[in-house]
Amino acid sequence: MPDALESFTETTVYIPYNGPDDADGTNNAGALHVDLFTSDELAERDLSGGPGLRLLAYDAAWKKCVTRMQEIIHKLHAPITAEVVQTVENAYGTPNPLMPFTELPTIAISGPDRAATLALFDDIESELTATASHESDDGSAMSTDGVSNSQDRPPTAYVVSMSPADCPNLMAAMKTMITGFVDNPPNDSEEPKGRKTATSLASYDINLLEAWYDAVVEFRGRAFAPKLVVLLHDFEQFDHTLVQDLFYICSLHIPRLPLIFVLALSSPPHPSYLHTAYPRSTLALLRLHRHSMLGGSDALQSLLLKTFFDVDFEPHIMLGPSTLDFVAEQYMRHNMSIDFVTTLLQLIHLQHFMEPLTVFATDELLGMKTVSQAADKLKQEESKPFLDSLHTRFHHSENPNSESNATSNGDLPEVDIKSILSSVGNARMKNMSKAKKTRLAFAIFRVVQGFLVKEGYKTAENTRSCFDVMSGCLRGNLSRKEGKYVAMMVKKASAVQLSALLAELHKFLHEQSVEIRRDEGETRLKIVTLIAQIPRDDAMDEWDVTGTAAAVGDWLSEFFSERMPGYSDERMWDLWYTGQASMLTELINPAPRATTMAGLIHPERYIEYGSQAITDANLPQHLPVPDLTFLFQGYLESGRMINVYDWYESFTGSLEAENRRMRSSASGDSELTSNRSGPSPRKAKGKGKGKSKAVEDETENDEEWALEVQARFIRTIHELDYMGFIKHTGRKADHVVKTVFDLPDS
Amino acid sequence: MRMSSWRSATKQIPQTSHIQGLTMSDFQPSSFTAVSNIDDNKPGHANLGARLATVLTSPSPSFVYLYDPITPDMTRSVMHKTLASLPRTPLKLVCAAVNCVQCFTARILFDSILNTLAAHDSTWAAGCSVWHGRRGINRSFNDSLDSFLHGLRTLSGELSKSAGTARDEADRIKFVIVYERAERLRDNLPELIIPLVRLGELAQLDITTLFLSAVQWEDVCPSPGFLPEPFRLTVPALSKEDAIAWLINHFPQQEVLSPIDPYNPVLRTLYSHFVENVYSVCSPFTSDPMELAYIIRARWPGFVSPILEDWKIQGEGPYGPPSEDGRMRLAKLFNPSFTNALEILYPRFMSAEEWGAANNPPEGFRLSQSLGRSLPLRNSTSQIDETIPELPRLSAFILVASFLASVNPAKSDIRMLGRAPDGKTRKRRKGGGTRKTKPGIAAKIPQRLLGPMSFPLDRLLAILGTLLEEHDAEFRPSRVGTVGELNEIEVFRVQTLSSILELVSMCLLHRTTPADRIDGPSMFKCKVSYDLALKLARQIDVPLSDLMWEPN
Repeated sequence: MPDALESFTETTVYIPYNGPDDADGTNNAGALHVDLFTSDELAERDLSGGPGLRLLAYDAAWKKCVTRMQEIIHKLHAPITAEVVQTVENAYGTPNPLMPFTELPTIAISGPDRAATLALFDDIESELTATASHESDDGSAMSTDGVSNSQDRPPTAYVVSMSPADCPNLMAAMKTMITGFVDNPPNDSEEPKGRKTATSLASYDINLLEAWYDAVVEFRGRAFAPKLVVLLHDFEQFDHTLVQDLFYICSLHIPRLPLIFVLALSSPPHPSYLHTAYPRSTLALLRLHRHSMLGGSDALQSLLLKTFFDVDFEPHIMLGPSTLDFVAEQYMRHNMSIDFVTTLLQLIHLQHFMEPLTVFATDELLGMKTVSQAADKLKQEESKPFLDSLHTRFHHSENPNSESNATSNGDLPEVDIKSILSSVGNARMKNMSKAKKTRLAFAIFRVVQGFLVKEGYKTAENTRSCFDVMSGCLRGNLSRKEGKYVAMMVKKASAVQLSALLAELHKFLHEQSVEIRRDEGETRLKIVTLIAQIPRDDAMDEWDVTGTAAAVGDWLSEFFSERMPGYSDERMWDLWYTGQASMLTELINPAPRATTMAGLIHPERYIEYGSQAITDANLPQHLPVPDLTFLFQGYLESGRMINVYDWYESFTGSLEAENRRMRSSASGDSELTSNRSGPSPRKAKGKGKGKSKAVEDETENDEEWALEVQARFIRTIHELDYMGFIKHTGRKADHVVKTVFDLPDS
Repeated sequence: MRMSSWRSATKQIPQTSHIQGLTMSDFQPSSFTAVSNIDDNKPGHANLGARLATVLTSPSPSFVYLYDPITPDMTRSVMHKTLASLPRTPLKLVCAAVNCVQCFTARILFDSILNTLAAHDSTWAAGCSVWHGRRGINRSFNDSLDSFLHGLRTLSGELSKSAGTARDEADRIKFVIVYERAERLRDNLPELIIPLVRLGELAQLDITTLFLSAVQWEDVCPSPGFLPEPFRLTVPALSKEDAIAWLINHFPQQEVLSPIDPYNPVLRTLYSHFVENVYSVCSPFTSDPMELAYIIRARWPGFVSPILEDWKIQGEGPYGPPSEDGRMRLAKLFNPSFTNALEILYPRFMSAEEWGAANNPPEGFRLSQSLGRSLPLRNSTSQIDETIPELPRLSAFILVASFLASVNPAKSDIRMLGRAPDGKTRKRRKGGGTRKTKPGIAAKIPQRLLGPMSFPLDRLLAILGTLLEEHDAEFRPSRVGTVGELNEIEVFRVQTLSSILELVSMCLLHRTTPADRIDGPSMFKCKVSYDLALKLARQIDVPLSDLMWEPN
């Protein structure tokens, strides 16, 4: 290896990854040790090895959540994917006899969320290039064991992806497209023919693609000839003239080459980017199929509903109402991207697991095999602060009004520790079961609400946004607001409506899993009892519905208020519900400009003097101030234009004042030393008092000092210049223009 | 498939001697794609074909310029047909047609010309080799103009030998090379225009060069006076009768499988009337037969569907065309939709298939029961532009701010958006009044007629901050600090700046300065229309008209 590294002929060296190196130098793959970040404050009451255990718990919770989210996103894309695949399959079918020319099929997919479009393109590509057709005779997907009659069928299409970076000019674009296709061997048995560069068709010549496709058709047969699909990512960033030529050249070769273009547009469907950017002559070549991605509030709504409010899915960690509001606000206000929400939720999970007690989020074993071992671990001396905090927490939740005395008596018997652990388990079970019941109640609320809206009662729709309704469900105010209103409307329902509603509720519960049906036996029984009160169809006209409707309404109202209490009613709820997430704002949406300003004005908050970071608590009185701060203060005090000489004078004055201050404090107990050059040798004002030699020294020192100040000024002003605070206009001699005005005091 | 049948038909033509005559397969079949479905009869272009044949078969001129600004695709088709039908004796013509958009490098151009002239098929099995003559398998004639000329001479020699006409001067091989969309040579291969025009002289062969273009020779010619004046042929626009006849010829001749079919030959008479109607409605706007054919393709299935419904009710045949009265009724029902079809289909807001599906008469709509009924028109242009994109709230604010920055003069910002220290907004200019202009001074053109102005990023952020302060305060979850302080930080946050870039990539904002320029402020332009800005402003409760210096 060293020989290779030193060799001039080896320009690139590949070092394969063999796992992380241990301290003793031995390779041990998979032994990467990562802990969850824990702040010093929380680390005091953390369990030994707690960060690692919490990381495992976080990993389990997040994986479950993100897997579910990906499934939902995949399902959201499914209709468009199916339509695109259908369009590709049907392209170049029987032409219309009146059609004067063949059009180039082009599918434009608009969606502002580029990451989502990228994921959709991946879905489309995998669907089109799947070797076995997913459509079997009965219309079902291919069986799981992989046995299918159509397994030997070739892929529906060959797919090539192109991005603007691949296409700086037409030659590169054609080459990317053509080589993307011809790199696939036209038949399975044959190796790709070696083409000689000079005597073969150029790799950017579309005739090469024709030759290759003829070979494919010859091998597969005309009936199974695959289509050629070109995916163009970030279509707006492509050069217009280049794409015009690309479309024109391709249109000359259809339908012999069954080319289909799929475009990813991030611009809105109206006004259409294609129609504003491309001439009519190009548009006339295309047969445009347009699709719009599900975006905006609907996408987030279905994502949150199906992840955190679905009766069939139980996340390890539920979003608290304030987190839910935060996520919705960030999404609707700043960035309507599903990727952004995924990142946000991941950060929320990470933040949640910073609390030491969340080690119990998935189980109470503390990384051991049994509860006894876990209790032994808690008994150890280093676990004492953790145990204390746990005990305090329990005691507090049992008797919130009494004073805690557990901390004073640290030695708990083992039985107590075990009982605490089992109580933690119980608390988890209770919280989970409560969340499950809340989810079911929310689902029933949506069924009733959906039914009423379907019946034409528009007032049953949410007056608040769907996200507020979700957080209202967790906070417990849904039952008092929308729930109550819906129940009241049910009381006024007609006989036919009531019977239809009850039938729908019965059907809904009947369709749930066995476990839910078993748990909700009581609810089902209630509904069946209510259904039993409905007379037969022939006696429906004479039936007085008021009594039953009132009973249903009352039951619904009671059901909602019972099942949707506040989320914080259960003991230890905060281990399974996320809390405030607003502190994440600075993480996901930082304000670099304000931070830079703050750093320039208050450098002591950012600079580490010696080994110790300065906080507001231990802020010393006499700290050396960086030159940049002096210069910046002068900058802020001046007008629109700054005279550089005046600025220099002011800088000199500031430095001298600073030196005097430092000297006067030098005799004090200053532990922190300046990392700059030492204090100025210039002495205090005392000209004429000393001897002539002293005066000479002083003059010499003065000159040195003036030079130093000048050098420091020049260096600092250049730093400001690099940071973009100064603009040189040349309009006025010795003056520069400010770029920042009216700074808020941050 | 019609194209494949055409191809198979052309392949049946024996390729015995491409020297003696030209077969269809001597040309790139793809060149015919655009007009492949058009019938052989091309009324109005018969003269053109004859003139072309005369010019190409005569010893001179060696350079022909075919100019057709209106229907170049049709002319291309006519030219191909003409080349295919040129008399095979006494001249030994070998022809090639290349497209100058497709041949965007010299190598592709040379390869295409030589391959086509030599009738060489580059197959995958043979390593996609280009034509290299009989002797040198490793020789290439595509690396420079000299090699190409050498290739042409080699080819000519080989062809002469194989035809046994090498010594007979009178029966020399004549190459005809057609350059379609020749105007693109000026962009792609400007240095080759002169050699290509004088190819015969350079190669010492009998070569006729034909440029087909939609622009004048003067716009293609690199240096006037240096090149020989071409023999010019200009294709006139099709007359009304010719265009209608061409469109009618389009109607399929063959029998259909099921009699209840829009392309039943019984309906041919009705089709003729239909074409005349469409022509009379649409010809003031476009007389391009291709476009009219596109509109006809979209409308015809819907147009005949009431008759087909009647036929379905009638049961067994024979089916007859509608009466004069029925035809009038159909015309009355469908004539209004022709304009709509033109408005939608000519700019390609929808494809013909999509428009046809959206505007077909309702299921079961019969001609015999259509008296007094009218058909609804869907997807007019006004309906298409109704939707507005769903944007994050901050992006909507940025767009409204950018719209204001683009239409308001920079000097008016303080007056329109400024706020006095006491918290009250400053007196704003009330719109509506007319300006008094001094006589003799030209009135200032309103900014909305001049298009959006570009503005620096700082101005956008300043306006954005004011708008957020005035109209977004109550939507903030938490509010601390003094007036303006929070917004000063807010507008410089990362998400704000990334939202601006996101809007640029969505083509709602336009960045006028290059992206890699870091010296000086970035300049932007708003790309949303007044209507869209107004809708967005309504969404976020900003009174846009009050904030505009010159309200519309």
